[in-house]
Amino acid sequence: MNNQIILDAIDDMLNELDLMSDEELQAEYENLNYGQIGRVFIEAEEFFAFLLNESIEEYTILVNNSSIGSYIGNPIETHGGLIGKETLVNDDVHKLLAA
Amino acid sequence: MIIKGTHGTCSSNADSIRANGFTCSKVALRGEGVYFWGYMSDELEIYARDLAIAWWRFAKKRGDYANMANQNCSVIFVHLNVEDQDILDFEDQQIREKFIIFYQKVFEKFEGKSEIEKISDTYNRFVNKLEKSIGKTFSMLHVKVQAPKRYEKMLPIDITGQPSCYVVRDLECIEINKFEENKNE
Repeated sequence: MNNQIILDAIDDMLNELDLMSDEELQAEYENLNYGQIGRVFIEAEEFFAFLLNESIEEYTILVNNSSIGSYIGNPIETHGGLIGKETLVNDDVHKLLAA
Repeated sequence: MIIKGTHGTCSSNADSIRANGFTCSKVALRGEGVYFWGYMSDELEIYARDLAIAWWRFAKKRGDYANMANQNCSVIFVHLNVEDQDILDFEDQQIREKFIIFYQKVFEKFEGKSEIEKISDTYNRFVNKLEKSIGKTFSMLHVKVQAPKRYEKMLPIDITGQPSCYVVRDLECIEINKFEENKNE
């Protein structure tokens, strides 16, 4: 790609920043990091230890943030035991699968 | 083209990478990605290898591997398959200067989070906005970074500048060539 296209696009970004209020800037920043609020479904029977005996069947959390993103596809361990893997169902829904 | 790279980590992590491939660091000083010390000539492989080992020493001292079963040093050698236009080069003088201006405009206005998270987010934000603006994604970033403190320089006087680092965002680019465990470290 022509470097000039990249440089022009960055200039547009900088100009856009100058027109944004601090609140707009912060809001965009939050949105970039966290995205929309999504849901993580946890199958209580299979993740009994994880749930610490709480009868919660569904957690509502922020998706696309670093804490949840780093778990996708990776084994989740807690209390010294392997719990399962988190998989991405779609952009808004993550699901934990049994190990 | 092919860029070669090394990645230093503990042997437990290396085993995980061998089994499952690399996963992106979510928070790091140049944003999200997998970090490699880059080189092109085979003659300089030892230079990149030493950088990877020096990084492992630094990370181990910091406690990054404290909970790992095997904390030995492993170096992973890779080929990064990429086209020139798919690299966003932060060492390009103009891009570098524009990023500094961007950073100054946004960094202090971000609230919350730690310093390193803010830096990482600033890089991510810059690259993501740029990608959206021009309608293409970058497979990797090229940055120059300070060598780890325990790295022994190749030359008695540092006339070569800081080493090149590639921050790979598209993991499809990565072709693992070999693993090397250094039990003497």
